[in-house]
Amino acid sequence: MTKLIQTLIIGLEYGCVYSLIAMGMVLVYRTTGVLNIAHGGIGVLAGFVAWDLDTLRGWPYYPAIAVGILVAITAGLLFERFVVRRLASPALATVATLALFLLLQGLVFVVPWWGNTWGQVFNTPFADKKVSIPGANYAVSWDQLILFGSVLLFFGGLYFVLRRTRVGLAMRAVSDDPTAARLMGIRQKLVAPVVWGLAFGISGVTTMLLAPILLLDNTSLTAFTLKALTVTFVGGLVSLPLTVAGAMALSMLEVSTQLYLPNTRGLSDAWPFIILVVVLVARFARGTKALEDTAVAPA
Amino acid sequence: MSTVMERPSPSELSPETAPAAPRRSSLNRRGLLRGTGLFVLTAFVLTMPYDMKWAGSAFALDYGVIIGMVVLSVSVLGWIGEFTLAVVAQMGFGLVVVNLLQDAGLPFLVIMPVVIISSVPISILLGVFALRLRGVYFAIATLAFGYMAQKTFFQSYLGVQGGFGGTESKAISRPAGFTGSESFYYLLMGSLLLMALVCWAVNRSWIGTSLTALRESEAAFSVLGHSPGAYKLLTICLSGAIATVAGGYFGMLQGLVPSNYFQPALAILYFGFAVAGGMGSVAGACVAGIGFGAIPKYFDSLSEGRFVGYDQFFVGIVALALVLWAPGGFADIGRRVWRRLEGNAPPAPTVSPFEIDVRDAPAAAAEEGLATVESP
Amino acid sequence: MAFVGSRRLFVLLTAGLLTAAACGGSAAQRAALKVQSQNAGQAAAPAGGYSSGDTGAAAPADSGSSASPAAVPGAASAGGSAGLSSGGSSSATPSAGSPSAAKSNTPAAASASGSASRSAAGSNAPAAGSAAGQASSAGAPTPGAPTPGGGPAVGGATDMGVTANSIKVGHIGIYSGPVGSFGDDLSYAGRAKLQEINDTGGINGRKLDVLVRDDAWDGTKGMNAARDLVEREHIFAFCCIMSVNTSDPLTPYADEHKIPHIGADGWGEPQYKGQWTFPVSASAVTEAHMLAKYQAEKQQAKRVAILYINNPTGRAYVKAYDEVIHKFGGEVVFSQPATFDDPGTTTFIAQARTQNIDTISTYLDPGIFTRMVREAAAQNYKPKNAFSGAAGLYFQVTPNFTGPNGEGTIAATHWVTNDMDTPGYRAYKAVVEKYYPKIDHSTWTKAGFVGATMFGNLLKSLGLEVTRQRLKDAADRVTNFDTGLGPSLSWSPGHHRANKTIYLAQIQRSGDKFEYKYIAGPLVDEFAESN
Repeated sequence: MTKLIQTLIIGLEYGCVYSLIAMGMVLVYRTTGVLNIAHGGIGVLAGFVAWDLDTLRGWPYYPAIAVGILVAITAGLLFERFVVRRLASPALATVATLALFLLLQGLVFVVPWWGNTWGQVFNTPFADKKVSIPGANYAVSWDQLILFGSVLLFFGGLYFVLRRTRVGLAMRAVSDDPTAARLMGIRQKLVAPVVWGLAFGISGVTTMLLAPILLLDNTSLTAFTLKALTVTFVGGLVSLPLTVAGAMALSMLEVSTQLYLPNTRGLSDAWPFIILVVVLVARFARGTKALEDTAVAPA
Repeated sequence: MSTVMERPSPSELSPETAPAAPRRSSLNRRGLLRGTGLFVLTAFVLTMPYDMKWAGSAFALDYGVIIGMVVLSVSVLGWIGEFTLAVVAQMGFGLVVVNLLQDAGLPFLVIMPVVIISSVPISILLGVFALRLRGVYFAIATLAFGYMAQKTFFQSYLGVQGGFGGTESKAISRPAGFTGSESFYYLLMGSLLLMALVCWAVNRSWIGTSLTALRESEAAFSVLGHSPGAYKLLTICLSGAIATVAGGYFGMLQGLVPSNYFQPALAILYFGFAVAGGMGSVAGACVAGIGFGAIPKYFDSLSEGRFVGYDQFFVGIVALALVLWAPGGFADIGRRVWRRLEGNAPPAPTVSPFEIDVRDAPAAAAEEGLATVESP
Repeated sequence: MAFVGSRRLFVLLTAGLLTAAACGGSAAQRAALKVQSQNAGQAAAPAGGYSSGDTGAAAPADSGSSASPAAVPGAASAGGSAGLSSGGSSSATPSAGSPSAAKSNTPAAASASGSASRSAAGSNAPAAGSAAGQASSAGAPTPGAPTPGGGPAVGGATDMGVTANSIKVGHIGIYSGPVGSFGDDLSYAGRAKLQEINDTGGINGRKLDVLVRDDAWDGTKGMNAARDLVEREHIFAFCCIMSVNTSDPLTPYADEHKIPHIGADGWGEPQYKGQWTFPVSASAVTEAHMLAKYQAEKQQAKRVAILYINNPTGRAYVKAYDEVIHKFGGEVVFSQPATFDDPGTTTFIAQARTQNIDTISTYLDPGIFTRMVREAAAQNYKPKNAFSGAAGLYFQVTPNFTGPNGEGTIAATHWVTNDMDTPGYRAYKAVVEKYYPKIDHSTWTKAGFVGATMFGNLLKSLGLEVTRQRLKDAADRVTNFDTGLGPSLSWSPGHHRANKTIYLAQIQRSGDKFEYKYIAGPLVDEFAESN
């Protein structure tokens, strides 16, 4: 029983990690059609800026992370204004995010005093506070609770924004049919900056939430981002609930493998691929339009 | 959906738009130009290791040529409008196969064909995904595969063999007569040219025309009685074979490779190179791969290691610049420059031939049987 | 116009960034450079090279080293002494190169040396042909000095990379990339020793021309640098490379081209198989053996869990630990690989607590180790015998990195610990901190120092006839090489696992901070393989 509760709690914790990252990428894809490969890189940059101010220069914690998030948002606005807006297609914008990813990763390595060691400790003001879970032989830190709460907040918030606000509707309209949206009076030049600023800002916030738990480190956060990308497949890069569900499923499977089958090498790392295959088979079995297409033209 | 054609098909030319018949003098000039260009290029390719000795070891060129192969394997998928992030995993498998076969004492001329054949199962597996998925979904699937390959296979199980530097590992060796950096370059360049020739031939043949049609409209392609799946599988197998051979050569280049080398992030880097070269362009891929592979290494040598940690930063800047000002990549730049040299008006700038139809994301998702827009 | 303007802006911004990057560098590195420049100025000999009364070259007082020619049997000691007294007048003015190859390339340093030599940024050796060197040889000749017109032959070009005045040495360090910020320290220690060799007279009249490169902890960059050093720069040998991603693939290359690599890091198993590679450190297997034995005997460890980096060496560590702990009635209850991007540390702690583990051992870097320790702290959990780990944990920053819950952590190291204050350690520290004051003294800084010391001593023992083969043969005959840093090292052909000694240090509270304190050693690995 203890192991089961631990599986659920730890699975939930890392599911929140994957969810947070994946939701940011889904937001951008849903509203712009661009796969934001630079999502993790922006977050790392924001994280290092905040850490620099907080740890190296002695700023208070909240202003430091506020500046970090502001840097991320500004980067999003600048990226949209000077890069995305000039590009002819979302495909090219995807490639531009790839270039940005390389640039940002390189930038973090290049700044000498950021000293990208094995990771930087970036504590929140409530670093040592925790809550014990009865019967689980496990305690959850306040940082992890905040992470969990943030995921709920982001999920609910994004759902609300996309479904219930004019800005969200405008985002979806521009994404679905830019011409029709323009004809209806929606100005893409006003909507797009909101999307990119919001997306990059979410990336910054994600790093602020993860850094106290995982340490602030370029390599690991980037690796988590790539792993979270595989999770977005479950939701088709469009559905937030399914994305979160996929993230939770992945983390639960990883954690249960590590707890129940600790000596099984490699299985824990194979789950993203296995989940992907299962989802694909499930769609295939259910029947899809694509299947009908292939039925028309035999191989 | 726009694409880049190597040349306009006859049907696109009408009497009004067809250019006037070239005069004899311009034909001679063009012929002279092409002949000179070919001669210079051949001479350069043949003498590059020695021409560049002042800048560093020919290892840089060896590495660049191998990256050229890798980038070519990524770029080839541009023919079917896809991109893959599994290329590093295929490289890793190539390295493993070469090491196992060398341990078994097989000669080089036997090993390489076996390496090519061994790439087929993985290519078919990826091809199955390509039949069901398109665009970013396919890319994500290949990413998941690459992730599993690196962590589950290379790190967990194949760390001892496969040249991955374990307690029992033996370094992968180069074939006799090609152990030096310069001699190895000629082997690599010969292999790359062969690969490029095959790709070019495929692209120029009826297969290439079919692939272009497939990329334009898969539905129409099917309706005409062709099998999209077969063509996709063929392209993916070609890409996989190139990547796997490149991995084998990479093992020969390094001798010992850490088991965590073939990370998915590296695949993203190679994809960036492919876009910089011009997706779908054989020459562009080769140039981009060699350029991005070799030039930083030469620069490292000349700068005595001062800027070694800056390479990703530079690549990011170059890639961003290309996306902004030359989306067709080096291939497009090359075409425009060449046409200017030939005295022709430059063609209209092309967008990247790599076009994922992601604008209609929710509709595309619905078509794939994935989540719909009603459930955000 | 706006389009053209934005392109210009882009180019200007990029150029600005590049310039800033090229001129940048941390304050620490600039301070180190300043110290080094000052030291270089103080060490500068008058033009004309060293005086005839300078006997430093005969038996240079290698700090902490007892490796006189007598300690290197088979060395051509007679030839060495004779050679030393007639040593050349290569300038004793080291070029004040930057201590950081990649991060700081201070123009002032280059111009201070007045040298447009081929020394890499960071080289501390005056190359033959440096302006200072030329000035000295053009000045009043000293006894034994090569006169511009020729004069008495003093060795000459005995092999690739060797001239009458210099020996070219290749050194590759980690100055950038994922582990650049602490990787550079691993290189500085060896370079400090090489610089000190030059400052105290060089090698039988020759100076070491150290060419430094950065591999950013990437094997392809490392091999590119290595091949460039061999094929274009024509170095004589490699020395004290502390980057496993380069040292491993370099090993077969060195064997193929018969180029000695003296003082390799030894972190990777392939290095022990090289005939021309001479690692100085102990292996992870030895660390595991000794940790297991110590924890079984002293801490009564019975139920052990191991968290390890998922690579062959990590698995070898687990296997080795398990083998030894079994001999003492214990067992490795479970082991788990850890990577940067999975819940491994969290589930590991949860599992360890559930399974009543009394000892957690690790084969990790400080980053993942810190995550695990912090996770355990969050769970109010620490096993009875706390944590232990391989030499990758033994860095000065680790204790405060892990926080209070890391107290009690035992780390293996291959040399005397920083608090042992032995004469050998004091001597090591004096040399290294003279050139790089803020270095983090870890297992591999000492390894680099030992490697450079051995390299220098071996070269001196060769006298004037310096060849790769003779260097390799001399290294293969080294027995009981002792720098005062702990183990005595011996090599023989086919048996290059020279260091089978471990010291153990434990994180203990010291006032309001934590630091490593010596607890055991030297412990010699009786379970080790014979090679």
